[in-house]
Amino acid sequence: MLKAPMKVAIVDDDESVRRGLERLLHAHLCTVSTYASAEEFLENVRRLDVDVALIDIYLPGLSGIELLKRLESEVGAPPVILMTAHGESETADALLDAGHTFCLRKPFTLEQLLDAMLAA
Amino acid sequence: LANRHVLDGIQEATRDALGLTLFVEFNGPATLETEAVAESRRKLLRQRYANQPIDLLVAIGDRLLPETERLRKDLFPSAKLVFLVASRNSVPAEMQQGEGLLVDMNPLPSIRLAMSLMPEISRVVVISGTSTIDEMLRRSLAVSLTEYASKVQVSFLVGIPLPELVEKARQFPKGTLFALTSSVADRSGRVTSNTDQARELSTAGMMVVEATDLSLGEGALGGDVTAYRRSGHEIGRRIRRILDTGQAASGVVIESTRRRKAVDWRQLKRFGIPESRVPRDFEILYRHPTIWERHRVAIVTAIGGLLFQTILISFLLSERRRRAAAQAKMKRQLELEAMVAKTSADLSAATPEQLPATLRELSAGLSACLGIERVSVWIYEPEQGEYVRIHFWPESQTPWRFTTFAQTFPYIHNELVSGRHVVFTRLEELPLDAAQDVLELRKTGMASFLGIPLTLSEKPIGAFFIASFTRAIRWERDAISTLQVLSDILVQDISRTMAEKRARLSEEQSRAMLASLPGFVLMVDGTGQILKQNNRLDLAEDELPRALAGAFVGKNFLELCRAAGGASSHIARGLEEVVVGNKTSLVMEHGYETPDGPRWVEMRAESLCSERQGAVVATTDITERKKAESENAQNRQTAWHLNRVAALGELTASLAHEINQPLAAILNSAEAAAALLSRPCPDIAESLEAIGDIIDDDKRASAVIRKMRSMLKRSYEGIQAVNLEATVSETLRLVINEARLRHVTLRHLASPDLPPIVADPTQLQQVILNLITNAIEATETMPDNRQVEIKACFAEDGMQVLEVRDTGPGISADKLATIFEPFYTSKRDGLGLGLPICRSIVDSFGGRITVENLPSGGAAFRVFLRAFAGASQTSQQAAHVAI
Repeated sequence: MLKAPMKVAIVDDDESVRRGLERLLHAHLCTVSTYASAEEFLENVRRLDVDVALIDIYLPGLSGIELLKRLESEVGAPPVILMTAHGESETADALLDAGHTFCLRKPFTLEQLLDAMLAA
Repeated sequence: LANRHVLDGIQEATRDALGLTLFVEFNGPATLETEAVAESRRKLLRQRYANQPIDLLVAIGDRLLPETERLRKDLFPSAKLVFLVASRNSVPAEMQQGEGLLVDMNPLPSIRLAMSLMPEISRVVVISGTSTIDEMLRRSLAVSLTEYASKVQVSFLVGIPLPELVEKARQFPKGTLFALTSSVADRSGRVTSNTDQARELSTAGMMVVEATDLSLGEGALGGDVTAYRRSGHEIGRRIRRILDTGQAASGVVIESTRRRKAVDWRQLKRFGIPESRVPRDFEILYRHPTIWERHRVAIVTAIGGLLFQTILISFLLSERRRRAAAQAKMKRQLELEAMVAKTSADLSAATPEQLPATLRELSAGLSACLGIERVSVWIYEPEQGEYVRIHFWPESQTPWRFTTFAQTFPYIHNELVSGRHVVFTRLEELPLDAAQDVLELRKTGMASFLGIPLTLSEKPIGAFFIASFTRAIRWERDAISTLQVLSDILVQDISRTMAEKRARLSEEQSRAMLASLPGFVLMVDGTGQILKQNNRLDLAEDELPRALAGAFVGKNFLELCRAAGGASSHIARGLEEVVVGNKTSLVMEHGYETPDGPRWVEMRAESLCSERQGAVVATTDITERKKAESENAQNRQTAWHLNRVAALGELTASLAHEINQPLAAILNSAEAAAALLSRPCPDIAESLEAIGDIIDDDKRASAVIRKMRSMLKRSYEGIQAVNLEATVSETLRLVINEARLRHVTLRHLASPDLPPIVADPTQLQQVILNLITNAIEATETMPDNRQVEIKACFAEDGMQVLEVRDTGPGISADKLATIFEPFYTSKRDGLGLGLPICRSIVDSFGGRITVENLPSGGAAFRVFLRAFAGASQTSQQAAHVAI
C-alpha cells in the first residue's frame, strides 16, 4: 500500500488502458494525469508535478524508449516506469538489464504496479 | 470400204465351196508405202506361205496387182491370178495370165440419172483427187458433160481437203449437183474416202452422186453405179470356176464389173423428187431403213479404208469350207442385242454389291458375242484426271500394270476424255500421234480394241474397253451402236454406284469416327429421337446415369432425361435448346450416385445444322478427373490455410499486443472495482463504471481472438458480396501494430462509397494480409521513409482495384515475371507461397493480380476484383461446380 497518495502521469495511446489504470490509481487515492502520446506529455512535462510517470513503450510517433531518453536529460524529470503489451520485447529487456528503470509487462497486477512505484 | 465390200462378196460367193480356205492379207495405207516397207512385206509373205500350197491369188487394187504377180511368180508359179483394178494401165505388161474385173469410176451414169430426176439442176461440180485415174476421169467427164452445156455449168474441185471442200461447196448456188470420182487424195497427200465426202456434203445439204455403191445410204443419191459386193460375187464365181475346173482364161482377160441401179429413198424425199420419176429398173433403197439394212454397210475405221488401196487375198485348197461369214455376223448381232438387253436390265437393277457380278456376266456375254477376250470398265477421277479400273475380265488374267493410264496411253486417254471412241482392228490403224500408245499396246500383245467413253453431261465419268489379243476384230457399226446403248446404261449405273459409294464411304467414316471415340456418343434428330449411337461407355449398367442406361437407337433421349428427373431434367432443358438449333453447343457436367460411390460425366452437345436439326451428344466419364480436381482443390485449400497460419505467425507479436492491451485494462479495472467496493463506504457508481469497462475490454479481446480463429480455420465461407473497404480496414487492424513495431508507416486512403465486390471474405483478407505484410517486410529494410500505402478504388470495366504500394527496394527485373509462380520467394524464412496463393485466390474470384515497380522506387501490387452484380452472379459462379 502506498504510504501517501502519489502524483502519477500515464502515457499510453490505448484509451481503455489509460482509463483502467487511472481508475485503479484513483481508487488508491493517487492523483492521475493521462497523455495519449509522448509528444503530448513532453509539452506539459515542465509544468508537471508528478512523482512517477507510467510510459508505454510502443507509442505512435515518438516511442516510449525515446521519451525515456529525452526525460533522462531533463533536469527534475520524474522517475519512469515503462509498460509494454508485447510479451517479449528485446528493447525493453535490454533496458531493464542495464538497470535503468522498471518495465511492467501488460497485463500487470496492482501489487506489481505498487512495487514498481515504490521502488521508483 | 470398197475392199471390204469386195471381200464380203467373195466370201459370200465362196462360202459353200468345200475345202476352200481363204487367207486375207491387208496392206498398209498407200501414204506409208515405201520400197523398204514393200520389201519387208514381201519377205514376210514369202515366209508365211512358203509351205502352203496356194492355188490361186486374188489381187484387189491397182497398186497390189504387180506385187501379187511378183509373189505368184516367186512362190507359186503354177497358181492362177484373179484381180480387180480401176485402170487397165495397172496391169503389168509382162503379165502372162490373169482374169480381171475393171471397176468403172466414172460417175457419168449417176450424173445422168440425177439430171433426169431433177431437171432444176443447173450446175455440176466434179470433185476429184490428184491421182492419174482422177485426172483421166476429169478429162472424160469434161467431154461427156458437154452434151448438157446448154443447161448446166460444169466446174471441178481438185484435191481439196474435206473441211475446206465443204466450205467451198457451200458457195455454190442451190441446184448444184456434186459428183465424186474415185476416193480423193488431196493436195496434202491425205486420203479421204468418197464415202466420207458424200456424208459430209450431204449433211451440209448438197446433192451428191458417185460412181459406185459405196456411198449409197451414206448420203449419196445413188444411180447407175459400180456394185462392189456384186463384183466380189463375180470374182468369187470365177475363183470357184477356176478351182473346180482347174481351167483359167489363157492370157489376160479383163471385163467390166457388175453394176447396180439403185437410189436412196431418203435422198429422194429430201430433194422432193417423186418416186414416179425413178426409172422402173432402179431399186429404191432405204425406204424404211432398219438395222438389218444398215448392217450391210460395214464399218472400217482404219485410215487405210480407201478404194483400191491394197488387198492381197490368197486361197488354199486344203481345208473345209468357211462358215457363212455374213450370216454369222448377223447372228452375232442378234445375240449381242439380246445379251445387252438382258444385262442392261440387270445393270439397272444392280446394287453396288451386285455390280461386279453383273459386269462379269456382261463381260462373258460380250466375249461370246463379239469374240473378244478382255473387258474392262474404268471410272474417271476428275481430281487426278485419271481413269481408274473398277472391273477387269477375265479374272484369270492379270490386268496390265502401268503407272498411270494418262501417261501410258496419252492418245487413248485424250480421245476418251474428249468423248471420242477409240477403235482399231489392228494396232497400225492408230494415227501417228498415238505412237506412245502403240508402243505400250504392242507390249501387251493387243490385237483389236474398242474403247467407248462414258460421259455424263459431256463430262467424262469413265470408259468401257473391250479387246482381243488373238484376233483382228472388225467392229461392226451395229455392234458399236449396241455397245453405245450399253455404255449409256453403264454411265447411269456407274454414276449411281459412285454416288452410293461416296455416301457409304461418308457413312462408314462417320461410323468409324463414332466407334473410335471414347465415351458414349449419340446422334439425335430434331425431336430428340436417337438415330445413331456408338458402343457405350466402359461402365456397367448400374454405373451409368439413368437417362444414358436406357439410351438406345429409336428411343427419345430428351424424354429419357426428363423421365430420369433430378439433374437430368435440367440436362433435358439444355439439350432441347441445342437439338432445336437455338444453341449451337452445350457442355454440362452431371454428378450422380452409383452403388460404388459418386460418379461424374461430362455431356457435350453439338447442334446439327441440317434441315432435320438434331444434335450429337457425347458423354464422357470424368469421375477420375473430378476426383483429381477435388484433390487439387483440397490441396489448394490446405496450402492457402498453411499460408494463413504462416501469415498469422508473422503477426504473433502484434496479436499478443492486441490481446494484452484489453487484458491489462480488464485487470486494472477489476482491481479498481475491488478496491472501490472494499471501502467502508463502497463507491458503487464508480465500480459499475469499472465493470462496464471490463465488459467492453473483454469484448475487444474476444473480437481479436475471433478474428484470429477465422483466419486459422480451414473452411471458407464461399464467394459472396464483400465490402472491400471494410475488409481492408479490418485487416489493417491486425497489422497496424506489426507495422508500428517495425517502424513502418501504414497509410490507408479510404474510399467509403465503393459498392460490394465478389470474393470470399476470409480469403480476401488473407490476400490483403499477405500483400501488406510483404510490403512491410520489404520496407523494413530501408534506412528511412518506410511507408506502405493501401487504397481501394474503381478500375476499368466496373472492377475495383486494391493497391498496396511500398517504399521498399522494389522487385528485381528478373523476378517480376515469376513472382507469382509457386516457390518463388524473396523472404529468407517465408513459405514462398504467399504470392502464388494470392494469385490462385484472386483467380478463383474471377479477378487478377498484377505487380509493377514504381518509378519512385518500391513496388505496387494491384488486385482487380469483379463488382458484385446481383444474386445471380454467385449462383452462376457456383454453376460450374455442379449442375
